[in-house]
This record gives sequence, C-alpha cells and structure tokens, in this order.
Amino acid sequence: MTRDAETHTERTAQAAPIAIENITKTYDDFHALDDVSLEIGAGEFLTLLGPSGSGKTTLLMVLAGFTRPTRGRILVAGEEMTGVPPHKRDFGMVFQNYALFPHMSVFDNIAYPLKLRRHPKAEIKREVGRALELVHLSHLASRRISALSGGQKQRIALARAIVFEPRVLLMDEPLSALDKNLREQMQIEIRALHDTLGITTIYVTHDQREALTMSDRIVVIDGGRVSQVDTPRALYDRPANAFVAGFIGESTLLPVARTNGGYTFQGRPLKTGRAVRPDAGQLVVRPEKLVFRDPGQEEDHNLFEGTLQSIVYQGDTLLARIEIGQGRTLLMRKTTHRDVLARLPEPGGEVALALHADDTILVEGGTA
Amino acid sequence: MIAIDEAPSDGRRAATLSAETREQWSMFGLALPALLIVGFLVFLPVGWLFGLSLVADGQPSLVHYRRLLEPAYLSIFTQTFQISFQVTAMALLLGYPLAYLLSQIPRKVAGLLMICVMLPFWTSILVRTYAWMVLLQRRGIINGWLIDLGLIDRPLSLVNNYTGTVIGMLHVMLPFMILPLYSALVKVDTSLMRAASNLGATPMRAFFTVFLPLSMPGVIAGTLLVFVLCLGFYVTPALLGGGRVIMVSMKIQQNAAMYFDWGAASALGVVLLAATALLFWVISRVTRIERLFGGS
Amino acid sequence: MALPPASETQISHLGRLWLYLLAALVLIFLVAPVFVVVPMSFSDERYLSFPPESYGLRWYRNYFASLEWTQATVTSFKVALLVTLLATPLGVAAAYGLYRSTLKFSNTVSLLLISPLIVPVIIIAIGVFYLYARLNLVNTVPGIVLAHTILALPFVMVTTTSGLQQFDDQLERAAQSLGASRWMAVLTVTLPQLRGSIVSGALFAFITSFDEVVISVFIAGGENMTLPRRMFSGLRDQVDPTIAAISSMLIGLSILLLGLAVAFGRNSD
Repeated sequence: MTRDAETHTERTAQAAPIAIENITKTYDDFHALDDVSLEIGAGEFLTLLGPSGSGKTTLLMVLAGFTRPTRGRILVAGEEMTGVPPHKRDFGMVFQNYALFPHMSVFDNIAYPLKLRRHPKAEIKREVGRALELVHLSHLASRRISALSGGQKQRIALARAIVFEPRVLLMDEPLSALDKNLREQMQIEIRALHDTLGITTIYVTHDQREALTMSDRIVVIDGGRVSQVDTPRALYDRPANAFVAGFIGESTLLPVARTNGGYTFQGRPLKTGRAVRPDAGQLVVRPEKLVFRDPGQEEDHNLFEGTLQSIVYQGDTLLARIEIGQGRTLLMRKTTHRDVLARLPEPGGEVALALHADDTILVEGGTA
Repeated sequence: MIAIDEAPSDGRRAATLSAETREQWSMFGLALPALLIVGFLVFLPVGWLFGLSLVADGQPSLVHYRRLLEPAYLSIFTQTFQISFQVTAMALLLGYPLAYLLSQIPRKVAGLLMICVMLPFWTSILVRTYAWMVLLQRRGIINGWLIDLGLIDRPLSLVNNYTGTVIGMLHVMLPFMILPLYSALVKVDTSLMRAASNLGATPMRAFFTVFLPLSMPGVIAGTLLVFVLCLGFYVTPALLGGGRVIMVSMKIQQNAAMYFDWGAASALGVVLLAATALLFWVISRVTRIERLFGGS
Repeated sequence: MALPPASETQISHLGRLWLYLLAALVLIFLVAPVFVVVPMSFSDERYLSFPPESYGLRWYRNYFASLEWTQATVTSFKVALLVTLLATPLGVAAAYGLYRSTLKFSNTVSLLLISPLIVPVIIIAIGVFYLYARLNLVNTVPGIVLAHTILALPFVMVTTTSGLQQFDDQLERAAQSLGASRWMAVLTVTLPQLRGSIVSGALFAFITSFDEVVISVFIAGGENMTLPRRMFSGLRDQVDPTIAAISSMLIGLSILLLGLAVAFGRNSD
C-alpha cells in the first residue's frame, strides 16, 4: 500500500479495505478465475489490468455481487460479502457504457440511489448538487440523458456512483468509449476525484497506459490468474514474468543461456542488478533503456553491437532496429533530439549499445 | 491471509450455488401463470382430442385416420394444398417487389408506407372479407370497371367460389409475407450491390447474383409462414367460398359443431397440426419463430 | 438538376418505373377494403352498391337502434378489456422471466407459450369447445376471456421480448449497484424502459380479442355473443348492410389503435 493511501484512510472513515480470498469461478470446465487472492488497502486505487478474456471483468462482477464465485470469499472491512446481493453491498459502480437510465433526467439519475435509501428531499437536492459540482456539471441537472456528450455521460455516471458515499468504487473500463484526448483528461480527473474522496477504488482496464497513469497498484491478470501485483513503476521496471514484460510496454525478448553461476547472451556473461529467478531463460530489453555506448560502461552495463537496419521516425521519438547477429534484432527508442540524431549512422552502419545492469531483466522460458 | 479449511468453503459453495439456482427458478416461476393457462386450454384439450382420434366405439382404432383416405377427404386435402400453394406463390410474387422497394427507400418513407401494410393487419378479418364480398360481387366495382374497359361483356363470378377465396386469402396473407421479407431485405448490405456493380455486373445481374441470394432466408421464412397459415385458414374460405370451397379447417368445424363427430374432427385436426408442426420446424431451422411476428 | 440515381447500381428512377407501379398496385390492393367500406357505409339505399347513389346515416342509425348489435359490441369491449388486463401482466411476466432464466428448458417453454400463434386456431377452438362443454363454460364471459387470453399472450410476449432485446442489461445491474433490489430495479428501471413494447403488446392483446372470430364461433354465442361472432353469422347467411357501418367503425378503431402503437413505439426510443 502506498503512503498516499494511508493518509486517505485517516481522512475518510468510510473507505474500506478489501480482502479477496481464493476466488475461483468456473463455467463448466472453463476457469474464468483460478484461485485469486488479493489484499486491497482502504483508500487504495487498484487497477485490474489484462487482455480481454483474462478474467478481470469477472473478478469485478464477483466483487459487485453480480457473479457468484464457485469458491472463495470476499471480505470488506473484515465483513464477509460473498453471498450478499449487489444492492446490499454499498459499492458504487461505473459501467462500461455508463448505464445511465435514459428515462430519467440527470438529476433523477443521481438522486436514484438516494431515493432508494430514503433520504429526505432537501438532502437529496443538496447531495446531488454536491456530486454534480464534483464533476463540474452543475448546469446540466435537468438535461435528458440522450442530450449529453460521451464525456458528460461519463461524469454523470461517476457522480451517480459516488453520491451515496459508497465504501468501495468499482469501475469497469469506464473510459473505453471516449476518444483519446478526452480519455487522458478523464484519467487525471478520476484520479483527482479519488484523491479528494479517498474511496477504495477498483478499476478495470485493458489499457496499460491508463493503468500506469492512474493506479496506486496494478494487478496484472492473465488466464484467470494473478500474474503480478505491484506499483506501476515496479511493474514496468521489474516485470515478474514474460507475460507482464510483453503486456506492459514495448520489449524485445532474447533467449539467454545458463552457465554455472550465471547467464550468458551470445557468449557474453550478463550482469544483472537483482536476484534472478531460477527458471530464467529470456532477456527483456526495453527499447528506451538502451543507450549509445560510452567509454567506461563495461563495469555496470551489458554491451551489444550490431548493424542499424532501419529507423522509423515517429515525431517525438524514433525507433531504431538493430541487427545483432544470429538473426536477432534489438529495438531502441530515442528522442529525436539533434544530439541523438548525430550519433545515429545511416542504415547499414555499425552501432555500439549498452544496457545498465539494473535495467537488465530476466524472465522465465525459452532456453536457447 | 486467513487460512480457510476445506469443509466450510465447500459448504459455502453449496449455499451460493443453490442461491443461484433459486434465482433461476424464481425467474422461471414468472412464466408459470401463463404456462398454466396455456397448458389447461391448449395442451390438455389437444391431447384429449388426440386420444379421441385413436378411439372408435370405445376401442383403440385407426378408423378415423383410415377414413381420411377416402376420396371425399382426399379432395379436401388437395383443395387445401392447392389454394395454399397458389396464395403463397402470389403473395411472394407481389410481396417481394414491394418489400424490396421499401427496403431501398429512406426509412422514414418506408415507415409511412409500412402503415399501409400494417393497417389491414390491424383491421378485423371480417371487415376485410366483407369488403371483398362487396368489391367482387356481380354488380360490384371490379366487374363494373372490367365491363367499362371493354375487357368483358358479362360480369364474372368472382366471389362465392374458388377465385374469391384466393383473392380474399391473398389479401390477408400479404402482410405476413411482406413483414419477414422486409426485415430480411433491409439487412442486406447495399454496399455489396455497389461492389458488384464496380466489378462489372449489370443492375439486373447484380440483383440476381448478389441481392436475391442474400435475401433467401427471408424468402424461405415468409413463404413457409404464409403457406402454413393458409393450411389452417377458416374465416375467409368459409365466407368467400360460398360453400364451393371446403378447406381442412372448415371440415373440422363441420365434424365437430354440426355432426359432433369428435373422432373424425380430431383425426383431421391431428393431421393439420402435424403438417403445421413440420413446416414450423423447417422454419425454425431458417429463422427464429418470434421474429416472424414482429419480434426483432 | 437531375434526381440522384435510385439505387446503388445507379439505376435511374425511370428505369425503375415498373417497380414503383407494381408496388403502388400492391399497396392499393392492401388498403382497398378500407376505401370501399367507409364510403359505402354512408349509403342511404336499401341495397348497397359502390359508389353509393345517395348518402346518409341510415345504417349507422340501424346499428345503434339494434339491441342485438349494440349488446354484442358491449360484450366484445368487455371481453377485450378483461383479456388485455389479464394477458398483459401474464405475458410481460412470462417474457421477462423466460428472457432472464438460463434454465435449459426455458426456450422450450417460451415456444410452448407462443404456440397459439402457430397452431391453427380451429384446432384450439375445437379443443376449447370440447373442454368448455364439460365445464359448462360455453357462452360465458369468463370462458371467452380465458380462451382469448391464450391467443393474446403470444403477442404480449413477442413485443415484450423484442423490447428486452433492445434493453441494455447493464441498466438493471446499475440500479442494483446503486441499492435497488432485483424487483425494485425491474420496477423502476426495466419496466419504464419497456413501456412502449408493453403498450403495443397490450393493444395487440385488445385487438386480438376484439376481432377474434373462430373460437368465438364455438364458444361465444347466446347471451354473450361477441360482435365478430354476430358479424360472421350475418355475413354467412345474408349480408346485412349494417355491417358496412360496423366495419367502418372497426376500421376507425384499428387506425386509432395502430396510431397509439406507433406513437408509443416512437416514445420508447
């Protein structure tokens, strides 16, 4: 849990920690979720990240109470939730297509959970007003849902999910229907709103950049299992396995050979900054971690050299493809600063590269 | 992490699964009142009649079915099939062009014209049958026009016979043909026609090689639906046939209500039901039954 | 300025003239009865011909003066109203339950419930007649209402199911996540969204009962003779011109109901 989340816990009493214990969901022979266990801190922003069909949405539906797990249980603030129906859980939820009620106005949509909880009229008015203020849409209270833009709908859905001060906020790919600019803006807004309210938030997405931008911690899910749980930075810099390395960020995977006491790539011993898992067999190279070789790097860098095959100029950055022998290629990403361009030869020229030992990641699999 | 031992976890599993099952059954329970009424008023008596069709003089017997092979009955079957076939063919020939046009023009205009198709659908079959009696009678306007145009010298007998029955049934059946056709035709991607045209097909050829084959599910569904509805038709032939046309359903009515010959009525009913069920089974291979009646 | 071509294959409108003409003829064929019956009902002559030589309200007066006709009309309205009130809730509940249920046989049950649309009415009619004869329900209002209900149910189910197919299931979940129980969610979110489908199902139910002939021929006689039953006998025996007046009024009713269905169909979008 991050320090940030701890301070939120002090600020709002309602934020609740969640324990997910050995949740398994099987459909006939198919394991949608396979023995998933997680601890989520009070006030934490946790993202479930995975490709489609990985089980992240199923896990969210189990949390919301719409899907009953085959095995395992859910605890919220120490209280068993597994068999509790959705409407008694007090979890706010933002759905993928917003799920705003088209036959009600914006006001009535947001007032809906409050009416169900029999809040007095005046109070409802006040609370809806406050929720609308939080999402900066106070002027839209009497609008019809069909008259809203996608971004507005998104915010109203958010307002409706938080207006009754739920203990937990669940979000199921809430930004997937928005265009890129709006999505990035909403990512920052949602995170800011979370920081204001300090509500325990579980966010489902398949967009790695979104996950990296918003989360305290990210849970990478693959094939119904938890692949890795870590902070965005740790997840990117120290992927635990080939799946995470491949799913998050760009990477080149190269087979390594095991020698007594270490690993070699193309005959050269590999320097690694950290303990290496025993079944390691592949080297993960992040394109932007490669540098042009400078003198004196032999100590703490792994060295590569090869022939520049091509350069793809992408505006802010460029992607260079470098052939390093035995049919292997490395990708290198650099900014398009003139100093960088000055050091790049024409395609066909020779390049010498280095990768810091701390950026040298070994994952399982693929022994060469 | 709290360790959970196996037993309570299994107990919980049983509890949650049964909750799921209970929910399923309570959903299903919503259909029970309707099912009860339909079961009591349709399946119970139909089953009963099926039993009656197999009994004669208190003994199990196939005599009622054997009687259906007599010439009098065979001619009723032939006539029923012939009328059904003719009406279906005409409905397809007249319905397809209209459905095609409706599928190609702007939706708003099509919606307005569709009201013309729906209006007879919503109008009492008796009203429509009555109108055809008036239109087709000896001194009616159809005969009047034909004489004025010099096409005929003496009025034709268009009603109280086979012709009248076919015209009246065609009018009742056309909407049943047009609706499934239309819903199939609007789904055909018209950019395919552009593609065919771009590849060198003449408009006629594009239609016959691309559009028509893609519209076949609608054609089959509409055709079978109309045919099967024709087989069981009662009101129109009873009123426009003038006693000269006897279809299966009319014979069933006679046997049951006039002669109280339940065995014969039932056997005939069973044959009609079997033919209907068979055709609907074929339809269900092509499309969803609900869709035929305006479901989407 | 030239008209845009009529089709994707660039046929001109002139090249399609035959199609327009044919379609127009079919449409005229479809609506012809309406255009014949209405003017004729205002005829003032003893024998009907078209077009009438003089106009008047003779046959309308005849209708309202006849106890037989008005009583049958009242019976039909009463029956149709009861059928609507019975078939609509039953059909909506069944459609919703079967739509949500994932039990293996729920599809079969759904097919059984709409089977009265498929089974030739004459078979249902003799079955019901046979049953009612034993239960002394022939020619009684409850008997007629029940029998018409089985014909009306499928229409309610089909329209409701088609509404449900367009309904976003997430909305019900959203309501539950906001604190509504299952039934509360159905009541406050699902049903209001299905309003258009339910209303058109109810209108279908009404008109199905109001116009029903075949079953009525068997079980709706005597004191509780329905309007279609009386019209059927009237048409079969000797054509009474009063039927023209009644037909015109029935066409008016159809247009009214169709208009309502269209209006509610629009609203529900």
